[in-house]
Parts: sequence; C-alpha cells; structure tokens
Amino acid sequence: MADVPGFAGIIIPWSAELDLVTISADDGLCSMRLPSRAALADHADGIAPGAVASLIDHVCGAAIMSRQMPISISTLNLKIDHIRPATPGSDVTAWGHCYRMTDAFAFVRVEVWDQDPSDVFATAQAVFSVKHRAAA
Amino acid sequence: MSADAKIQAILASSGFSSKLAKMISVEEAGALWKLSPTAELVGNPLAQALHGGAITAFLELACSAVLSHRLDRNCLPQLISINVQFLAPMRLAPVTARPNLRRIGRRVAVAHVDAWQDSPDTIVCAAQCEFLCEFA
Repeated sequence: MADVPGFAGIIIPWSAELDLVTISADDGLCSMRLPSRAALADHADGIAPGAVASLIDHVCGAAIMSRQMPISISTLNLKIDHIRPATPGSDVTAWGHCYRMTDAFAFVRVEVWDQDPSDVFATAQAVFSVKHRAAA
Repeated sequence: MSADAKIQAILASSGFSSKLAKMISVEEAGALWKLSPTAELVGNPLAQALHGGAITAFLELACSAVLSHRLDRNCLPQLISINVQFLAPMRLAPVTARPNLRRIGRRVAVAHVDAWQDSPDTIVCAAQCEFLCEFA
C-alpha cells in the first residue's frame, strides 16, 4: 500500500487534510501516524480528540482493506476511550487490527500512543459494514 | 456577550476546534449546531460521503462546547469516552446536531447528541460522550 492517505489510488480528502502517513498495512494490521501541528491541537497543545477520532476511523478502514479489499466500507459504530491526555506537541501513532471479517461486517480494535508504544493514551473498538465483490 | 458568541469564543480556544468552527454555525444558544461541510471532509470520494472521523469530531465538539458554556468555562473539557453510531450514509451536505447534557456530576458529565441531514425525524448519526468536569 502506498504511503498516501487513500486506498487503491483513491485519495481520501479528510485524511489527506490531516497529513496521515501510512507506516505499514498488511494482513489486517495497519499502522499510521498523525503528525502534530497547531491546527490539530487542543488548548493544552495535545492532539485534539476529534483529530484522534479521524486517525482511528481511517486506520480501521486501512486495516480492513489490508485484510481483504471489499468494494465498500462504512462505519457502523465507533467507541473511543481516552485513557490519559495526549503529550503536548507529540506526533501520534495508531495501530489497527481487523481481527474478524464476515460477509457483511468487519470488527476492528485500535490502540493509539504518542511517545512510548507501551503507554497508549487512547483505545478504540469499531464495527464496519462491508460489501464484498460477488464471487465469480 | 450572547450565548452564541460565547460558544464561538470557546471554539476559538484551540487549533482543531477553530479549524472545524469555520464550517459550523451555532444557533439557539448552543441548542442547534449546523455543520456546512466543505469537500475536505469527504471520507469516501466515490460515494461523496462524509468521513466518519470528521463527523465524530463535530459531534464531540458540539457536546464539549455546550458543556463548557454551561459550566461557564472558556476552554473545552477533557473527553473520556465517545461512542458514535452511524445510522445512515452521510452526503456532502449540511448536518444539524442537537447536543443534550444528560447529567453534570462533580467529576463526570454525560452528553448525548443526535444529528440529521434532511429532517429532524431521520437521525443519521448519534453519539454519547463522557467528559471530565475538572478543567485544565
């Protein structure tokens, strides 16, 4: 997968606007980084929860695509827990794992960290509705 | 200062909220939030559907700014959890949200928000948020 925020050559405008960078995406596992900048910060200079939500939603989609490329994906539900405030000024990285995919749904878990991968500051769980290409 | 102006001042308190605030108008003292999305909020270019992460950010911002206003603070509270439900695909068209503060305790506040595109009778997404009431 290319390191641009899109799938199969299609650029996702909101993810491009946030400058999301794909670090790796394969076999249902995807890692992405959101670079820190003032326009994405909260009042304490940490990354704003809305920007984290956007990173999480995108990493979920990429994790699903990396497992099996469906025709379409849409978010059904998304639950995000913020365990601690993000470190001010720090880039953030999200790991997404699409651990199960059925004919109609994909189930994904995400962990988000800033400076130490073992010290996550947010976790998420999401269910997506997926449409697969009809079997030939 | 009117309630709507106070809420605009809260939105201006951080980089990310002021970025989204350019597309947001607040009416009825914070009771109604209207997002007029530009093309950068698209998450699926083929369907011209809005990005789930961007919508999550909008819903969370509406709840947090209304809570700040109610508690007479000038920055946004810390988000603990958000649980978003997408009921229908969302077109690149205005979204209206009605945030509702369900409980404000000493430590935790709980808010709920419903949003629609065409008619208030057809909710297209909803979220529940918990915030820490102690402001930094």
